[in-house]
Amino acid sequence: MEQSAAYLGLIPLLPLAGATIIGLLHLSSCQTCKLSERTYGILACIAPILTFLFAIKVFLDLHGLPVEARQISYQAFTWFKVGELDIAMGFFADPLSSLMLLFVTFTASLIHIYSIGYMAGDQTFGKFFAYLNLFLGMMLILVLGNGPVVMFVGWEGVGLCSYLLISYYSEDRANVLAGNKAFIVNRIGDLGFVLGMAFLFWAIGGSGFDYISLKANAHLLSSTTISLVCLLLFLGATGKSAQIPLYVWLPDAMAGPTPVSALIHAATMVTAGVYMVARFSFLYSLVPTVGLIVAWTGILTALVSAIYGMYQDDIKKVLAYSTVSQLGYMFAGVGLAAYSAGIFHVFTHAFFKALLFLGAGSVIYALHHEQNIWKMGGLRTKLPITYWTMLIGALALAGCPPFSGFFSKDEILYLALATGNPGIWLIGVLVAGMTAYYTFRMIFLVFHGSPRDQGLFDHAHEAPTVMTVPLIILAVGALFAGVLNLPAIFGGGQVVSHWLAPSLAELHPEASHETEILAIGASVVAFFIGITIAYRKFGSGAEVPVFTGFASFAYHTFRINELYDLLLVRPYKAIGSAIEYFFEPQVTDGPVQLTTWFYRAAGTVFKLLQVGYVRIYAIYMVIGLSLMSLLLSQSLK
Amino acid sequence: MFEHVLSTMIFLPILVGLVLLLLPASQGAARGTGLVASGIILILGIRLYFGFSGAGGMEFSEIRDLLPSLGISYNLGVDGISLFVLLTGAVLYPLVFLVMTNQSKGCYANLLITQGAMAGAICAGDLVLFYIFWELMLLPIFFMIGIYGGPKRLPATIKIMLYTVAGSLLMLAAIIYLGVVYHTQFGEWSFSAAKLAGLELHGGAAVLAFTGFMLAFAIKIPLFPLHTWLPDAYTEAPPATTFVLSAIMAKIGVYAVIRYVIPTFEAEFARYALLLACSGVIGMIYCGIAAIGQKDIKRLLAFSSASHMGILALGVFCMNIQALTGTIFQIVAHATSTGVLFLFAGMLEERMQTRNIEELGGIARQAPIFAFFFAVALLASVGLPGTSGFIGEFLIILGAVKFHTAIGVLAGTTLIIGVCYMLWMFQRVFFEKTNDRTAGFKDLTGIEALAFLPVILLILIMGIYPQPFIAKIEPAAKEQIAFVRPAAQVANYPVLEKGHVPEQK
Repeated sequence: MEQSAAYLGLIPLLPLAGATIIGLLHLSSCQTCKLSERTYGILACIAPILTFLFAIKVFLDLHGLPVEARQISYQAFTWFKVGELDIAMGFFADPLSSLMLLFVTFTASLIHIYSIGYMAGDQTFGKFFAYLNLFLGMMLILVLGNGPVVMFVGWEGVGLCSYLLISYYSEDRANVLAGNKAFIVNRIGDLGFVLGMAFLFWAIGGSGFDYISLKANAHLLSSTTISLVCLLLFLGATGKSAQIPLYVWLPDAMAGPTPVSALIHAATMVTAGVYMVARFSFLYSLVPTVGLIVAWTGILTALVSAIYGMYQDDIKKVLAYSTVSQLGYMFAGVGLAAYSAGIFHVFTHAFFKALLFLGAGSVIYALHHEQNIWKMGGLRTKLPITYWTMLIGALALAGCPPFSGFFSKDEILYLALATGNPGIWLIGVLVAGMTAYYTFRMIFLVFHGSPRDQGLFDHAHEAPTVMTVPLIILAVGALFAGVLNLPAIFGGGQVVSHWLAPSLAELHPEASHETEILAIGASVVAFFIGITIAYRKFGSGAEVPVFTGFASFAYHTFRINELYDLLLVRPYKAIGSAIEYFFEPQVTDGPVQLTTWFYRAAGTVFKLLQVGYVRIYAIYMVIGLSLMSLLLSQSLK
Repeated sequence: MFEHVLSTMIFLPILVGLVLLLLPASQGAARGTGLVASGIILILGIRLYFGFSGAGGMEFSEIRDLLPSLGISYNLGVDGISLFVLLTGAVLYPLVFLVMTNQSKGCYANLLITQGAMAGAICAGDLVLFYIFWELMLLPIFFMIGIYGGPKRLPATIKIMLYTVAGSLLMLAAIIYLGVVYHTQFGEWSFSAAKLAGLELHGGAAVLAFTGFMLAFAIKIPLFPLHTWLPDAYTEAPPATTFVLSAIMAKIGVYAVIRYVIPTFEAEFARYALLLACSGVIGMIYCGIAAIGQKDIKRLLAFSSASHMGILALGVFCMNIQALTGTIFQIVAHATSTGVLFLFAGMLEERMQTRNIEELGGIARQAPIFAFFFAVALLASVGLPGTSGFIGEFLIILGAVKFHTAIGVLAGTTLIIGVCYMLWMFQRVFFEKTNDRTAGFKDLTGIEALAFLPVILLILIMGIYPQPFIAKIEPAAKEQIAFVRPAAQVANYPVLEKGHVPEQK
């Protein structure tokens, strides 16, 4: 049933090898023998482009197989085997992973190319590309791993790269703190992942701990175990994919270079949680209650972050919160067992969000690293390519028909209605309106109106070709990707859903045409309301607002960071200090101190007896002798 | 020479160390001699590894009567467990002599004596012999901290002395007790570990004897709350001594529990396993949180080491094959990662004249190779997949979940606790801006980088392809588990039966 394909092992290996080579070159280079940026750039782009070609091959190979047999796998070696635990370093591709593979390698290739332009002149150019290649390798292990443990390698590996790239400009303490935060918050989620794996293993892992065996044995699990495992794994997903309560790291992650935000913190890594839930759809589909928790977490995250997004003044922060918000939609989809809808939104989102971030990067590049949208304005004449491509991205994000985001988002909202969750649908529509609003608030403030900072405006110039070409390619994707999964109502055949079907344990709710039309109509109306309000307020210039009341509260993201700091970080540090200054010296050290105290006390007492006069010692002797004779006479009786 | 390979690995360093102590050698000559001696041991160790069949049971045995009237014998041997503990020392020791250039002559000599004694304690198959080597490995430590240590070395020495002597004496009493029981049951004297393992022990005396052993080893590991000697001793000791204490000697405590306590006191061990496991996991959390409050990089690493030892020891008390194999694997993994971290901390101290984290910064920019190696060791220490630390920790957490769900969950928090203090430290030492002090920091020289490279590679290889190592550990670990399994069932651990294996469809 499965086909073996050794080249699967090569896919993650290529970027890892690239990272090693570039890293070694970077480490061994000195000021005088530095390689040129061009050499590094070409070296770095080899791996992503080759993996993209391999991704196409995987797709074609799978396509050539009969629908039910669309699986290819490759076991490189036994990774570790102890008792009944037997973990192979194995890779596995099915329709789901092949779709992920295609867009991950595609966006990664474009972003590698873009970075050559964006990072030009950076002191540690080689290091940046070594990290980027390492990230791609880890992401591919995550996608291609044949079981949860191998997936976890990639899962943690992309987390490490994320940390390294967020703290890339490490001289600034704030950037490193953002990196630390990302790593630590992700680790909280990873605890859930590890425990989920452990419980799953002790339940059914003994006869194989890869997806195929797990799927075959899933019926042996009690529903309590499944719920527990699914909840724990979802905790992992909330960390990696920035959902309530662990979303706080992603906005801070914008401290990294902008291509990194596009690749890692928008298009690929952060969607890993959605991918994981879809991967485990054979478990999640068995526990609809847990699914509802996932869906509600997702839609509430979408709502909260959309509120934040409406008040941000940093262009990257706006996009960051929109990412969190869109990820929320995806979780709403997979939570309602509409896995292909969720994954399709992952797919389209990769195009338009990577595009928007790269566009933002182009703006930031043009304005010499100015990120405040209140200092921009009127840039559409200066940066025409960036403007038009970003406009396409914005329309896709805002869900304007017929751009890609419209179809994927609408599918999720329609399914929320069809599965009987009007609450989720209603919030979803509201968020859709808010998305249109904050996206076009950003577009209007950056590109329309008149310049707010004439100095910045005068020096602005369009980015070099190496940066604009990826923008154009992604814009084409953002425009047309939706066509791939056109629902029947628009005369489409849902190609992506059908392609994904063998990988997913999907429910297909039946709903009337009226429901579908209602869903579409509401989304379109929400889009127009959102964009109209944005145009009225910001369409032809606006002044820096002064936030008061709720707006100020939302601008400060409901003070959630301060709250976490107060409830978690400070107490943790306080306990640390308490141990150092109180428990260690006073409590746990007790036995030692008691012993030394006893010796000292005894010494003090005995010292008193040592007076140095013979006559006193004679008295001691007399006392001693009389006591001894008393004792003897007692015992003789 | 190879038929007496274990004896050579024990007595060569001891003799060289003693000669160095007596002769008026210069510091450089002492370091060179130490390097040669430890290099020979390393070569022997590598040959030992490849000569080891891994079929289970003792190999390279050397048995000779020492005091036949009391049944004390000179009995050495290695199995899959001791092999790795022994090799850890053999692989890491040359590094000390290579990179620690500023230690005094006496320190180098004492290091060698400790190395031989540790090898003896690891290979000993006779409890009296074990006791002799155990004491012999501790003595040089007192001298090294007391004579060559930092400004607060005397209180630190007194503390470690009090603790270890108390533990050792109780253990001696327990060893004698075992000998006497053997004499009454079989009518002859013997202190052979294999023979004593067959004893039927009952009642309060057995618990006392068990306590005697466990206390000695728990202090050495150290298990919470017997760890208070550790931060002071690790901080005040010269860098090379800290390295030996943390990377190798602490592991011998865990090793001794597996080797001597489990086979002999299987019933007592099973009965108190839960308590001991709690102590391990509490220690991991307690010391891990304590590490966040440290300003001294060595003291931070000391607490980190104590924290890791807690979870490492936990693997022993879980009494299943995954956790035990994980522990033995982690012994090597933790020795390499923590060892490298302590050596680097020592180099920082030697070159920057400070251990205060606040006074450092920006070193990654100054010394990328140093920072890269440090980062690899750090990532192994926090258990990132792809490094050796992940395999060990994952197996232990997996085993802990099987043993007791709550303990497994608590053990999992090591994922979070570890990164908190490590990233905090890495940020302040390696990132941020360079200051006047760190601006002059020189990167590793080619030779230093080459010296560290094998250990760094080992960390990665053991993470990417650990199966060859595990294949050698597992049979020996299985034998130890076989001792406790019946006892654990009597002690009624329902969790051991959990985890049914369904049929493959």
